[in-house]
Amino acid sequence: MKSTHSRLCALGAALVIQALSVPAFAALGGNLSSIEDDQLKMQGTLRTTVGAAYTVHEIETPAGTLVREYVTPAGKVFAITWHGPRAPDLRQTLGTYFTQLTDAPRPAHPNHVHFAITQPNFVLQSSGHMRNYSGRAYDPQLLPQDVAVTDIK
Amino acid sequence: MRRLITLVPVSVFMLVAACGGGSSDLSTSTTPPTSGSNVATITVNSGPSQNSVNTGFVTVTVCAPGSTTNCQTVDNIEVDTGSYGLRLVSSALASTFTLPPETDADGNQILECTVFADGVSWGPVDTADIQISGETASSVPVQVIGDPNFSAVPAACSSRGTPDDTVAMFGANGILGVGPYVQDDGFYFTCPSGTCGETQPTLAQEVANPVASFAADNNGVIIELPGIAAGGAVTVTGALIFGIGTQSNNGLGSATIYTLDPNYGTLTITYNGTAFSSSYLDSGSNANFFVDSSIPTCSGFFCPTGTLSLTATITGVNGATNTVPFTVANATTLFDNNPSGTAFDSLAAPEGDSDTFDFGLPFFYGVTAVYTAISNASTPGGTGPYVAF
Repeated sequence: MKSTHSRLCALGAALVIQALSVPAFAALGGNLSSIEDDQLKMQGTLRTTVGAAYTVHEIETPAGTLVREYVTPAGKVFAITWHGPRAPDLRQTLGTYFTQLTDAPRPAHPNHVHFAITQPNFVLQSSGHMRNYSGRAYDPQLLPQDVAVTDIK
Repeated sequence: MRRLITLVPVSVFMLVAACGGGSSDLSTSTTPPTSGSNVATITVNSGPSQNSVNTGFVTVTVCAPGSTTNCQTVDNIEVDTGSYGLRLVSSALASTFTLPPETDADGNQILECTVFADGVSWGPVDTADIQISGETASSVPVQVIGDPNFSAVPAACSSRGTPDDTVAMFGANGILGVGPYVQDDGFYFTCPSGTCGETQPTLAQEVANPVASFAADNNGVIIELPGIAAGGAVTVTGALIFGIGTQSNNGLGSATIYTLDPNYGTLTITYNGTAFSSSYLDSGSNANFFVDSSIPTCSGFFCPTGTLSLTATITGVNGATNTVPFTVANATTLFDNNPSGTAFDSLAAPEGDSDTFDFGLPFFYGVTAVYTAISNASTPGGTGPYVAF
């Protein structure tokens, strides 16, 4: 998927890509050390990109969807994103934030292609349609100081 | 329903032809009054939930396969070039109206979890003959959303979003996916003994774009919507035309073809110096969605202090390119100044995906014709998938 490649390249040369032998993937707001089952549940392949400000764990599901998890140096998941032909299991990836998705008010004007939630501790932007879904969710209160929202891709 | 003005199209065709890939003013054109047995009327209004904006609706008749009497006509069906297949909200159908089920080899009902960005729509896949204007698609799989006989949404589906199974939530009595593919490549289930599990139906059992099943006029669609005033319109009447270059009323004329990525249906739109490689034209989007952190937002839309006149460059996989103008007005001002308005060509909103620019229904107003050709279908302008305008 070409967009995947460009996104990865955009992460920059300062980041190092390495394979991890231990599956490590957590839900939004979770601690990396506490939850290590997402990759197993998604039956996906994992790779990790380590940077100074944050680490990106990336799982590609069998359906071809890329799920990325942004983790602070302290091991806290502050953002997740997804891109691909099948939307991911958001109950799994959003963790305790999932109820903020299901409890969110419906849009003022119906729209099946874009959906956004903006709350003090939870921002979700979901977009796309059949064959091509994308989205990101993050907790602004967990965002490291030197990380911009535009870094979450 | 207002009649459409007929004078401008010839000059617009000349203008587009003269521009040959450069910038063209699409804002002043109007839609020709196309008519014929392959033409369905599109109406933009507030829809059955009374809160839709920039949403085009058509009327569809569904029948049990082969029947001319066991039929039901359903209005307020959203026209969506970003999805595939017909989906009907159960409550818009008479309780006495039933369609035969699609079943797996063991006779189990096939059900689908349709994932939209705003939620999931769950329900059985049935078989129907679909009539739109004078066209008929025979024995096509369709989805019935929110069927009370299949009300338990499995966790694997509800984990993808909020169930979106009523007319009030869905904003339509159904959705007609006429995008550039045939099958929806969806998320299917069977629930033997009440336990639901994912399944892969045969290709012929997947919910499919009915246009591909028409006897003729089956290679794509054209959407024609007239230009509207900057302050918006209460209602807009346009046309959904079936077939590309198959009749005297659906030729490509001087339209430029922009081919799409064969797997994702995307093209590139360049805005403000950035090329967004996962972009699309989508009649099912109620605004133009793009990334520009310099424009203030309110209530989820862009709300600049004054109306912005912008451009974006659309580039097909085939390299065809054209720079199109568009405007972004303050959404709150638009809604406040025209509270009964349902069509706004300068409505725009932030896009969450960093690789996407989505030209939604606002793009379609005033463009002579927007063509969507189906993947692998042959047209006088080449093989789909492509869009053209």
